[in-house]
Amino acid sequence: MTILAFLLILLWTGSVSFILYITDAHLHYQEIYWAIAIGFSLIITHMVNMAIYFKVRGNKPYLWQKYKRKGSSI
Amino acid sequence: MKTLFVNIRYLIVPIMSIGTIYGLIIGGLYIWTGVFLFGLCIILDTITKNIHLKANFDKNGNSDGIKSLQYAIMYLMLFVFIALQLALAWRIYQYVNTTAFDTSIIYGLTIQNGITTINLIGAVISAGLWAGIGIIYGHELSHNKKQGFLMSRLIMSLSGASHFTYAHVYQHHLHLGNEDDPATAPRGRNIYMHTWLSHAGQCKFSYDLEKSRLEKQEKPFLSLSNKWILGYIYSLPSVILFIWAGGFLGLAALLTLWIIANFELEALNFMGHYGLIRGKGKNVEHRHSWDNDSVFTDWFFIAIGRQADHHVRGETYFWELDDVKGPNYGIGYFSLFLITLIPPLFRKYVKKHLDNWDTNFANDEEKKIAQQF
Repeated sequence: MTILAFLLILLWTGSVSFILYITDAHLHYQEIYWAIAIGFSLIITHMVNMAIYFKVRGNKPYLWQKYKRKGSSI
Repeated sequence: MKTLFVNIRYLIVPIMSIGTIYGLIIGGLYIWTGVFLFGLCIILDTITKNIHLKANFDKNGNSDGIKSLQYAIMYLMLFVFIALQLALAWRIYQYVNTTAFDTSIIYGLTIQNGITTINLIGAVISAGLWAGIGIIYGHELSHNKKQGFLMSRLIMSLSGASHFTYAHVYQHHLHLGNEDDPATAPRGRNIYMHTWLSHAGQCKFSYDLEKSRLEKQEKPFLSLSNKWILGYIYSLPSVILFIWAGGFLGLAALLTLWIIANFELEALNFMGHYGLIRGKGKNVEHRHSWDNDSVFTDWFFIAIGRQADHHVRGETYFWELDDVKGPNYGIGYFSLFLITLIPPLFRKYVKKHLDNWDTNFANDEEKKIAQQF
């Protein structure tokens, strides 16, 4: 599930990067309005990435089960 | 005199952070000042590991710490860390725009204009190492809902981790030593895996907290009332600054700075609770945190290493926290941090300490859980 989550994150981030590229964002980033617009899109991209990870990886990916040799949830 | 000493001894980080900014501005080899200072701290921490001091109180039992002074310093540190990012962004701007290598004198300071690739790498590492140290102020202020919470959120947002303020107080402090706490690393987890799992886990807590709060208030999740979203909005000025300064390169630099900073944050969580266990819903006691009160660690990290006392008296100011004879590795955070970077070495090092904890600190329930690992 972790691999799937990171693949989806990669896909989403790649799509946003592609849109930024075809709109010539890489040529205009030092114009302040462009910088603000790019900044907004990237912070939204990051928030969506985190939400994708939460959705795919489930509620508590940090539980201890993986590290236990025996026994159930604590 | 004693009061003065008690209060100025916590100025190591402000002075060294300003030194790092100074190095970034002066340029040339001075760009590496932050890395050099971090290395110096490792040495100082290692050679002073056996010096331990108690908290200072006067004969009436009042603390020698001056709250207004310590809070003023912590508030000011927000602006120091902003200046750190501005200095780094300026250097990235120079690199991207291939500023000519020459010197200029501004207010008597000789500044080396232009920056080489290797020095740019040094600039990012220097800034990242000291931006990460900002955590200690974000942490301390998170425990004062009225006078520190917002400031804590703003300081943490400079590292893209504004969610920490909520998660630390309302998740970590309630669930430590239990698997419901992402910031407590179980036995066997390494620091690298812990960094991601703990970061994502705390972020998820803040996300869920807002989701349920806004549902109760019948407000939409996608709004500025959402403090999870608001936390990222606080980080927006940093993102815009680095994009404007260097485009893709600026973004890569900011991401590196955030990764280093969050790695340091999670390293502190890792070192503070690794392998310790507490039954679900049981009282938090001194044995549920690793104490770290070597003198340099104590002064540098504004007593964040006095975890055992801190977790039992969460609202207590850092200058009043004391040695409560909790479990202790016996070496400072800097030395321990180096060991954690090599997981097999850390597991070997920590085994005797965990065995000691299991034998001399754990209760029957905790021992039973420990046997499962």
